[in-house]
Amino acid sequence: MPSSAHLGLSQRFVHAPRFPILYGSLRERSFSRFLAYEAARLLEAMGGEVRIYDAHGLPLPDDITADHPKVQELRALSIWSEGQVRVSPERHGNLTGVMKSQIDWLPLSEGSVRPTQGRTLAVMRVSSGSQSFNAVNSLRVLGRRRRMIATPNQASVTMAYKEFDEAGRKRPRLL
Amino acid sequence: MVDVSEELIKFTLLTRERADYLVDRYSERKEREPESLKAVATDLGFVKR
Repeated sequence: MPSSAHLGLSQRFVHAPRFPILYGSLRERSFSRFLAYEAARLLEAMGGEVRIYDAHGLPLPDDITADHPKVQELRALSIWSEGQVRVSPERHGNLTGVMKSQIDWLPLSEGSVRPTQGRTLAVMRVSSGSQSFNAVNSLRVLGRRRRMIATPNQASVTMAYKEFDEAGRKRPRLL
Repeated sequence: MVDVSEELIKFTLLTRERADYLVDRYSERKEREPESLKAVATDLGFVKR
């Protein structure tokens, strides 16, 4: 279990590290949402505070002004965050438009407010096909553009339909 | 998954307190206060003396 003490940090933080999770599919049986929930369970078990953003109802970027409640909710989550998780399906060999639209609604800076800068970022991708790192690589590029610190590690789940059970829980991996 | 989550927690704990400083940039400071940084730029050789 990661701890502040091993990192030579004092325990004076009053709050748990804060992580919003964005996922890039609106399907009912969305494997990226399932993976987002698995990440949430892990991060919470490790002492993090997690909120998962639901992109249903988020307008396309610039289709409407930024005072739309779903846009405000997304920006508030990003401002609140200290680290972020982004999980995207890989569609046509890249991340989905649903994922990109969420990222596009987050400005580099808005006056003195910087919703993404300096936050850590973990990238994950799911696909029903074979192994590929296109979507995670794209997520890294987008993180860099927003001045985020991406972790070296990443998750790439292939043949997602085999990895999750009926309830959307990840099946244990055979070692 | 566990590896990524652990690493995210570790990196976040390490950086969150220092995040403002980590994204503090010379180019943006210069934009905000061009005059006071002219001397620094000269000293570093970015501007001819």
